[in-house]
Amino acid sequence: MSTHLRKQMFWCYLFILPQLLMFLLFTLWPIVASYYFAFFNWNGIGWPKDFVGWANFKETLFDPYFWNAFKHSFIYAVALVVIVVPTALIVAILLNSPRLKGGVFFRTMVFMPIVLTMSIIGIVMSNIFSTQGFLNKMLLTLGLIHQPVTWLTNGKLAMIALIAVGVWKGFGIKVIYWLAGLQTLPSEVYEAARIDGANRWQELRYITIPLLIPFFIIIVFFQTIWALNVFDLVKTFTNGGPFFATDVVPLYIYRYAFEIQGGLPRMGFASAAGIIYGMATMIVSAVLGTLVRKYGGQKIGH
Amino acid sequence: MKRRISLIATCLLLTFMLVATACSQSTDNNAEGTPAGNAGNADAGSQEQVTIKLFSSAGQFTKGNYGYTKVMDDFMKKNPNIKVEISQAHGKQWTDTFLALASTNELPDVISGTGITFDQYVANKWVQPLTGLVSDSFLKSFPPSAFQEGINQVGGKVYAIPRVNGKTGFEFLYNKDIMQKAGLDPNKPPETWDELEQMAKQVKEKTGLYPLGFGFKVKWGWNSVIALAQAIQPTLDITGFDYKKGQYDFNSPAVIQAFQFIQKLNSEGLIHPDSLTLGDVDFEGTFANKQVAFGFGDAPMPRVFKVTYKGLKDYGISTIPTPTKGMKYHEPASSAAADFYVSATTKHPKEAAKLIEYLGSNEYLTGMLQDDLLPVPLTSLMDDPKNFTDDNLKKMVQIYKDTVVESPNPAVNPGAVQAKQVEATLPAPKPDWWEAMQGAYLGQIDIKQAMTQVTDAYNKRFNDAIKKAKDGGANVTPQMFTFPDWDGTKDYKK
Repeated sequence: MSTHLRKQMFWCYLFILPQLLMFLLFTLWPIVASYYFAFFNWNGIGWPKDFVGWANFKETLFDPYFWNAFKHSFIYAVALVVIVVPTALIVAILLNSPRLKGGVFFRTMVFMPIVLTMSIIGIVMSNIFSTQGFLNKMLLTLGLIHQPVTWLTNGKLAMIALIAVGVWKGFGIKVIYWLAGLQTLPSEVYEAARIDGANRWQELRYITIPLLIPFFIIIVFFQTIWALNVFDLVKTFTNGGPFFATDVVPLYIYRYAFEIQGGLPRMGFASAAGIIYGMATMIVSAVLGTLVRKYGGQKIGH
Repeated sequence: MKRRISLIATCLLLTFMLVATACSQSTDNNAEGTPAGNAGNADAGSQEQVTIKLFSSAGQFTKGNYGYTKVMDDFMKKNPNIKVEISQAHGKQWTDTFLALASTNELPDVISGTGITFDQYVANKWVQPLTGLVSDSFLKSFPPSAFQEGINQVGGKVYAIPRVNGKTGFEFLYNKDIMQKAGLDPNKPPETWDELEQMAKQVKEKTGLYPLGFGFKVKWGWNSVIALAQAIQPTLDITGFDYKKGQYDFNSPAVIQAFQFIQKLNSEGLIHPDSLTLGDVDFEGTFANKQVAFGFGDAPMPRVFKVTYKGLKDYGISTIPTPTKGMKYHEPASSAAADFYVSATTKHPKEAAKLIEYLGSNEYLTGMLQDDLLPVPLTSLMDDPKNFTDDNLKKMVQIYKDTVVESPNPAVNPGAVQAKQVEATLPAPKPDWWEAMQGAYLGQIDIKQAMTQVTDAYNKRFNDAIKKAKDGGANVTPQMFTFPDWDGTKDYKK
């Protein structure tokens, strides 16, 4: 290895070092440690001593409230993917149109929720969705309802409200992703299509959408993982209620890891639940990752 | 070469600056919320000065409130060598912070928080006995019933002093102005469940308001159901334990009847629909902001309505309504309470004990009763009418005198103390009793079935704790927790 290359390598490693240390300390170590803690009855104070074998895993797997939260996590993720990904594409296509006037304004409007903190959104939205909140007042004024809707005290409506807020919050960034994708599409393909007599719909159906498939896979991947890890919004908006109707696994884990559950927190049990959920999300990631590898790098051609 | 050295030097300098920034940030964080900024600077000024930390869940210690001001303005003046840093967090935030501090072995010197039970403090060795730290004369200034085994002392050693009188319970709250608007006599609150229902209907009809509000998002709100049940089953305490039966009894006919009454009011549209999303503090705001006419409260209410909702006067306090006319309401509680502890790891036990002596002093407690409107543990102060500056506080204390009876204390047996400590470390059933009530309130589960499951799970946990304690050498039997001759209408006497 030449001196120059060695020097370059030295500086590369030097600049990677702080990030690497952070990664080892705050990402790798908690993951490794949680595998160890999961085998103990441990409240998070001191060092675990009470070894319980697979008991925490068994308890998690047989706990209906874990599966209830698990189901909600996936309902939330699927709903967000199904709603956000295609609608964000439609909005991106509109915003990408050179004929649209005030595009910057609309882009800012769409992008705005991204810069708001999730927990703040949760708190504000819990007021907006309360029976005497803004939403009910507006619906009553418009004559669309005659009684306030109990958005947050009815299990099904609370889930709908949670999904609606999640969609609103995650929408902007997906529009940005789609816009980035749309702007990479080669104009000559469209010119050729127009010469061949293709109309706008045919351009969309036979050029835009097929060419955006790599972006679609990546956006679905990001959206799914983001939605499966939702915590702060649920914590501040519904806190998993009413009666666990919006409980999600990250919140379930948090409750056992850091809150009093009759006795003291159950960090060991929470670690086991985290590992099981981690494996489930890993499987989803692996499937989506395979699709990304298969289609994500697909070159625009033909 | 020179360039390389200068580059390395730059990197080191940058690293140093980053670390320095991080450190200064952390110092700022520590100083946040403390009375006089950075503790280190204050100590540097005087080598003899000692800084102790008080961490409380009581609103009394929020900046500007009674406890905070007294410690800052009075205690620190009288003890110039002691600097007190006060931090306050409410409810769950306090508990979460406390646990984080415990996990990093950074407990504050003086602890005051009810989010952790006495058994948990002692079982985890987070606190140390006050006996020997504070003077005997100080402990003797409290009535003998203020200290009881398993509540604030173990093996004769006192671990905590009470801040508020332990013999308190629940009361009914009503907004007089709303009652007046509804054409009801504001001086005649409902005495029975039927009266409550009828008055609630009238309030709704005449004012359009939701008559009743609850903090059903948290356990505190569901305590109202237990409070209603206690009218029928006075041997049931607020934790759901029945002293007569010696076991948990969440599925008793009284609890089911009380729950069904609440459910009936809900089905009639008489309960504020947001109740399931309200915590205790939210409920207080809902009541104080006149969004509901009626509610249930506990001992801090007069203080909360005076301090937090300044000017709220046109409300009243009465006894919890009973199912039928002529029934006498009773609820069990202990005169002893555990509020102020000295942490086991404090480096300044003497100074911490001094602060505790101040917080339990006649002077501090007199001001607390007169200005902060909280019932105090010293009977000499509570018996003096001059100390009551607020009619609602006076009324509330009278209600407690009439309705709250001294509960039996199984912890007079050392084995029972050990069993309770074991129980405190065991996980609660899933869902907990109040969560199951939430589910039944929403109509998702059957109340009787849910409460039976919860009761069975609680009793299993209780019996497991007894067995575990027994295996550990404790002399304990389930009979130690059973008081078959006590009917809950009179103070329990040995």
